[in-house]
Amino acid sequence: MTMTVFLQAATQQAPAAAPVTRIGEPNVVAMIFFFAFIAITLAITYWAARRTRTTEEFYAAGRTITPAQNGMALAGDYMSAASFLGIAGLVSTTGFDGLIYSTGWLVGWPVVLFLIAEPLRNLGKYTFADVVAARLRQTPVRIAAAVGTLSTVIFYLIAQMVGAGGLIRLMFGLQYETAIAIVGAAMLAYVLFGGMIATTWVQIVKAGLLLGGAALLAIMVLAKFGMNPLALFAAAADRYGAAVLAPGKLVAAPLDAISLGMALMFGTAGLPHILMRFYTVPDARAARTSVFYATGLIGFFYLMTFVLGFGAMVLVGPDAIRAVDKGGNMAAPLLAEVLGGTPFLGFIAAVAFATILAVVAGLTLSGAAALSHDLWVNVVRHGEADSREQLRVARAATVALGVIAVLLGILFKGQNVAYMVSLAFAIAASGNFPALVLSIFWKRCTTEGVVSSMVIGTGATLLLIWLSPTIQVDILKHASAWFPLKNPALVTIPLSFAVGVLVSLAKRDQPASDGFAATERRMHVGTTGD
Amino acid sequence: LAGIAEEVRMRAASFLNGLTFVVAAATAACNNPFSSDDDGTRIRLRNASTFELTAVTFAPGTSRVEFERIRPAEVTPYSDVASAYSYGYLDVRVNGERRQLQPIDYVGERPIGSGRFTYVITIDAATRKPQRAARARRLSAPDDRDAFRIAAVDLTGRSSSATGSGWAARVCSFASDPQPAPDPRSRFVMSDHRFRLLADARWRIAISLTAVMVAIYFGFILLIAYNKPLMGRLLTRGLSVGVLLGALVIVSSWVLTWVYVRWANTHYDEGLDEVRRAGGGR
Repeated sequence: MTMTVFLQAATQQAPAAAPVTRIGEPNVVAMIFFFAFIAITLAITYWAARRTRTTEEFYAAGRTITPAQNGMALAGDYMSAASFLGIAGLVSTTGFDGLIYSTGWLVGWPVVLFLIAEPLRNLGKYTFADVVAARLRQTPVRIAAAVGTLSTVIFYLIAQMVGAGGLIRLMFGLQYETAIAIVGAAMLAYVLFGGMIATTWVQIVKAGLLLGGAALLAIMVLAKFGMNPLALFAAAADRYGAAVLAPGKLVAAPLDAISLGMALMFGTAGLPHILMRFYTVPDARAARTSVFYATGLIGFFYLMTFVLGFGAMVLVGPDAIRAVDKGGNMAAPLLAEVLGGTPFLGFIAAVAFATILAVVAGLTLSGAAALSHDLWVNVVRHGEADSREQLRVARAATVALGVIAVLLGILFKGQNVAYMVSLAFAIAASGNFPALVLSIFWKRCTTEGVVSSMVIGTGATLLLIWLSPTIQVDILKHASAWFPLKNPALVTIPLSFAVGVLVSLAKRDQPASDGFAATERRMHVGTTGD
Repeated sequence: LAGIAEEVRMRAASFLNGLTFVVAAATAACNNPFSSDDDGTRIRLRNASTFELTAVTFAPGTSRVEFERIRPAEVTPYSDVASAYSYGYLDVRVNGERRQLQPIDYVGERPIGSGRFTYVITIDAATRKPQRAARARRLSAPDDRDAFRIAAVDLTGRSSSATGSGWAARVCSFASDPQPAPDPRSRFVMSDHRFRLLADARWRIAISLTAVMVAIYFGFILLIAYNKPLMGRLLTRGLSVGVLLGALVIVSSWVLTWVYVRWANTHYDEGLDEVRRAGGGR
């Protein structure tokens, strides 16, 4: 969706920059801000590296992150460049239709709070597989969960990397491969040396910059309209017709919209890099509070996209925005340039870059945790690995993932990877989320049930995406697609739940249901009795 | 035989003096195998703590009893009450500080029936907990209530940086006449029951709030899909129904998370504290 638009555009050839903007030219201010960000975050990494000696510190920041900090970091993990640039661009070119996305990206958070955050914190250690495997057989559950995690992470990573390359080329005039390599190297430095502590602080700095930058921009826009958003919307309607305040063509197929909505709503609660953040706080209560903060910050941010989008529409103009980038993704930077000149453009560009860097770091860390904690330590070594070995494997996994991300980023250069984000959300929603819910709340669920739910949920999602119009028509240029929906979540989420329930009911798993009482108690009370 | 009697007495003694005093032979009280007379329910309070309790109000259900002062180890006279449960609401001053113990509810509980019962009030000394947990707790405190709970730990004269949920008064009942040998399992039974209520409440709330969120968001999407003219209607200059509803979806996400956090920070956390003190952390 938003990401779709953003990535599509970012991977297309940049059209010749319109004379009104300096976007795409090397921007001194952008470079200064950008290197300042890198310097600050590397300093944080250096500081964090000395506090990252144990696995608990590497994966979970020693569980010392406060709820407010974690709320910021969650927001940082979630507000990608796609939200910032994509939604603003979409609103500026289509009006109301863009706002549909502003709302869609938030509604998954209450679900995370109500169903997942606290049980996850009490039942797990580093990954969501800990929770699913709590009273089930370790090996099959962890393998299946690692497959779900890695699928989500890899597809999300590719989309971010390809998007980053395109975006940086558009903004700084850097070469695509150079940009990808910079992102990969900086991210590796954060994760490898600073672990979760550095990653968390990078997220916090980034979230602060993004919220601050967006708020500053929004205030500068509103200042031109007597601080009244309605005056801004009215100006947009006066200039481009009342249709900009009404739904347009975007939700032409209701089933598509509902399917996408389901992927967003339940996918958020299955994103490994988001779930992992709940282990960084001391207890379930802190996990709860941190989602509360995150929901507030993210909602505030998406409300600001209303102003940024319509501001760009009125002050820059849809045609000028499309002239720079067909997808409209440069709306926010262009708006910054109009309002604050080249320095402000540089600042916003640097913020967008920092945003990608931080999200990539969080993704890599959660992928590394699945590889080392779930697969290596618990499947290969049956939990018999000491802390030093775990750390070594985790760091090796980080390097491997970082290299894979850079290679895939270069490999997919110029490809439309839009489907990969919807894929990541759909896998999270149909592979990870049902397994989590079933294992947490349902006594009768069995190892076989949960594993088949994860495997079939992930597999069906991959298959249906392959058969969807996005791949068959848009990419392979076939006349029609086997499967009518662009996002399979409408089918795959119920399917995954149904498979989990039916397989569980087919054969009783006595140890699993016997373990439920103790697991349930731990889910509420916690392990420490605190 | 003498050996058995001795063991029973020792078990009773160690149980009463043990670390978790959460005495409550609740099963005994609930099933009430000891009630022999039909005089109705008669209750009294015993102060098993080392603190003097003043301005005591105790309500094990709809009835309430009040005492101006209960000294350490003192047992009050019996009072007649219409009915009583095995635990109750307590409002008391300890060292001049007012404390309340608010049960969640009596859903699923049965009155203890007729007979004579003694509720024992115990107060746990504040336990030290890892500094880290304390810090997070304080930072996460959304209102004065929690900050107060931590700040007011110091019932034992330790420094006020002693942490944890310091207030740990427990009011529990056991049939007093004849006094049974407490069954060590009973406190788990009681804690299990309280836990069940709490876990079910948490589940109900989580599901209802999720359903509300789903209804709101998909209602919004369906309106866009099937009633575009309505969404495009202008309410005032610059504000269409669609834009307003879109903003309201975001606001309703905030409200729903606030509702949950509010419930969890009060009812759920207090219930969890009770379960933990009653041995729920096993």
